[in-house]
Amino acid sequence: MKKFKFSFNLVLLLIWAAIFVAIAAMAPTFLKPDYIINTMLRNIVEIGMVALPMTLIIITGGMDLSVGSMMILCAVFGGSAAAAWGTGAGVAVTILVGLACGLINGLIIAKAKISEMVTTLATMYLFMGLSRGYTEAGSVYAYNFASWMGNTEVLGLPIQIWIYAVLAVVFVLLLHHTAFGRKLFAIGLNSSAAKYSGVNVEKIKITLYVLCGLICALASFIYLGRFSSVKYDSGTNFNLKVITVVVLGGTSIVGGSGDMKGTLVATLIIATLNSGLTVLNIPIATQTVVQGTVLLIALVAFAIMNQAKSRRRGAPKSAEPKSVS
Amino acid sequence: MGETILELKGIVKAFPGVLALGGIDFDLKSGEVHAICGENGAGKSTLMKVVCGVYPPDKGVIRVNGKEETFANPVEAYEKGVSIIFQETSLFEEMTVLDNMFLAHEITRKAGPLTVLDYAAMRQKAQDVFRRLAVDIDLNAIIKNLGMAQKQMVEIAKALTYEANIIIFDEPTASLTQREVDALFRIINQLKADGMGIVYISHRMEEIFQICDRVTVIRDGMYISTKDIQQTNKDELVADMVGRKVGNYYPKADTQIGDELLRVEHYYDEGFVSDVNFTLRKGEILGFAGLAGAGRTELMLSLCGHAKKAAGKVVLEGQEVHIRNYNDAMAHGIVYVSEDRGKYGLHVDMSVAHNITLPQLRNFRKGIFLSSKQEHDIGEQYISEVGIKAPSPEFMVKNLSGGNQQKVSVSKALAIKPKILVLDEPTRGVDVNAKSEIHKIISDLTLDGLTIIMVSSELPELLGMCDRIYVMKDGTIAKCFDRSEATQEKILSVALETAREEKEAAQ
Repeated sequence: MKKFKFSFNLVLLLIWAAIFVAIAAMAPTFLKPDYIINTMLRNIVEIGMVALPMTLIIITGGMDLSVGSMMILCAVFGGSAAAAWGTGAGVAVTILVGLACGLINGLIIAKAKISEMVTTLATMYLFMGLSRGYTEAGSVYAYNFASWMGNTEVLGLPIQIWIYAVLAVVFVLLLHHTAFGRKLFAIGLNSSAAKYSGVNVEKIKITLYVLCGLICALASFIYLGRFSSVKYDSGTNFNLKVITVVVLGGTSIVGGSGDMKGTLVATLIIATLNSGLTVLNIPIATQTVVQGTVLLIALVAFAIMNQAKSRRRGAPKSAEPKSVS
Repeated sequence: MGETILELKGIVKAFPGVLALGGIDFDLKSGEVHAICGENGAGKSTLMKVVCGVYPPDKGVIRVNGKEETFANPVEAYEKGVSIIFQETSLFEEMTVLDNMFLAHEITRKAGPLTVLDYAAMRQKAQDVFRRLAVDIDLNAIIKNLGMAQKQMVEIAKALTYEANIIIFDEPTASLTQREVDALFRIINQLKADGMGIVYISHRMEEIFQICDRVTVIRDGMYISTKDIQQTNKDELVADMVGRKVGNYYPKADTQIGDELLRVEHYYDEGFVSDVNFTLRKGEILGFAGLAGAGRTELMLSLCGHAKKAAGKVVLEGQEVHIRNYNDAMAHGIVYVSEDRGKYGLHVDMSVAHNITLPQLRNFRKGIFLSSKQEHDIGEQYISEVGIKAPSPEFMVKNLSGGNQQKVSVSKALAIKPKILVLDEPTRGVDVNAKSEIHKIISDLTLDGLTIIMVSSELPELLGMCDRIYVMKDGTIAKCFDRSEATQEKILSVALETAREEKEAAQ
């Protein structure tokens, strides 16, 4: 299992390298550090950041479709609070809104036992509706903290890249080296058996969605700062972009298996594609086609490797147990 | 007994690296029930899959009703009169009985240019089949609302709609209660009287002697023996199966039984448990017998913190305790080993070590991170202590045999260092050899001072292992027997009495 995962990550890395080299060969400007840092990496940070808790959620067999709406609602309420009462209030409101939205998702999913997909589909519209109603379909503008988060350089890199890097390390450790992470896999593989092993499935699910809300709040500072204003519908499709990254990274959409490092490499792949295709002046329609194709190639590669793995195991297994018992 | 209707000669089947079947001979006559015995992994299921076309044989001849056949798939086998009824039913849960019976061989009629399903004809045929079986099942019932026994009847009826004259039963009684087993046997006897040939695969010796005419033993993919049932006995068959004499079936150790450890008074839980009173003494093995649905599993789950709405008094070592969840139960030293390994007991897609550590991950950490070394070590420890046949602690549980999976399940509980170990059907679906190994483990545990509650539907197991046996009926305890006075008949009559009363009350 470990070896196999390593090899899928390797395939992902190779895909990324191939795309990177191909684009660099066609458009040398692409290789400028400034372009790589300020366009390629900076533009993906919010998606990459939210993909971290999304990976955890999908590993438990869940899904959060409301992330885009949640991020925008945080920015809208936070930005408005900052305009009315100052920066401190803006930051506090942003974080509280993120936590509250996550808690709503988590409580409905864990306590009312409504499916993750349906719950977050509903809250996606709910949160978007709140943003729209509150702003009366107008814009909310960045305030000093948000602008700082979106546009500051620290040691030669935008601050959001540092934040993302720290979070990435924390999430890799969290998923693969802590009891909490192990329990997520246990829930995704068989939630009844997890419960019968004393895993508090409800509490963990609520924690996950609250964590996801919190990361959305964090991402909303950066997003608002980077674009200097947001509208209620700015987060449309954000959820699908995040889920795409997670799935491309080899996390199973039905839960139970996945790898945070895969999500990180997949984030790089999408970042490279987005910026690289723009540099090549490829029209947006074609870009979308290329993205879809890359996703399909990765998924098929993953499926083939999976089948090869089960074939290796399958034959002796049906003959049963001599291999083992 | 009539002419030979199924004949296998020198069947060989190899999988990469494994010779699954090394030249098996077998014959079935019309009007007989012929058992195939062997441990898990002996090749029984592989042999039957070869017969009905799931795997092509590498060598050998299959003759069905006198003609040499090689089936490409089970549907071809069905059409030539060979039906197999698998251990896990292969019915579609959301569909009706009637739809399931005729799936893939629906009766159709012409309605103008269209071919449509002829429900009237299918219904007629289904009713004929059920009448023949003397079974009453609503053809419009949805499968998932039926009990295990009824599902099996539907499977049998489905086989009969194909005009099968050879029916293969693969462990048909694994999840049936005694009453349902009796009903199944009545039907098997009737099919036999109708001149059909039955292949009966089972672990349960008692059943083989009750229902079968001949028995063929295979071991490690090799043919060992075929015997008339009247001319053999249990010890001889078991010896053939395991390749050596198995002496004592139930290796119960003589333990010193201590003071009262647990007392349960007027215990109630929503759903199925009401007014339960029992006591458990230190060092004893306490059995719980009863029909399926008597509330045994529900009671144990509730006591172990999986309660819905429990009430009553639980006294552990003289102190009243309140167990609100499984973590509380574990903290008090009460652990539960589920009857359903695959669903509740284990994560089959995780390794042996990760399964063992899951209930208590906090104890396998170095700082805030999990220590794979500590996890590996405890895996190693239980692999050698409990005798799990796995090459390493990192081995996936799903690749282990049933008996070894059960040992992982027990190890997972033992690693918690419990005072009271609750074993729910500890030997369900494991072969004879692993069964006696598990019994030995249970017995040894009591020598180490562990107290055990054992829920089982196999009466010989309870009678052989337990110091006392409570019989449950309708969610409460009907009677308690001491080891010295308990017999199969006494327990059954108590368990069944209720069912009869209940039936009368319902009328």
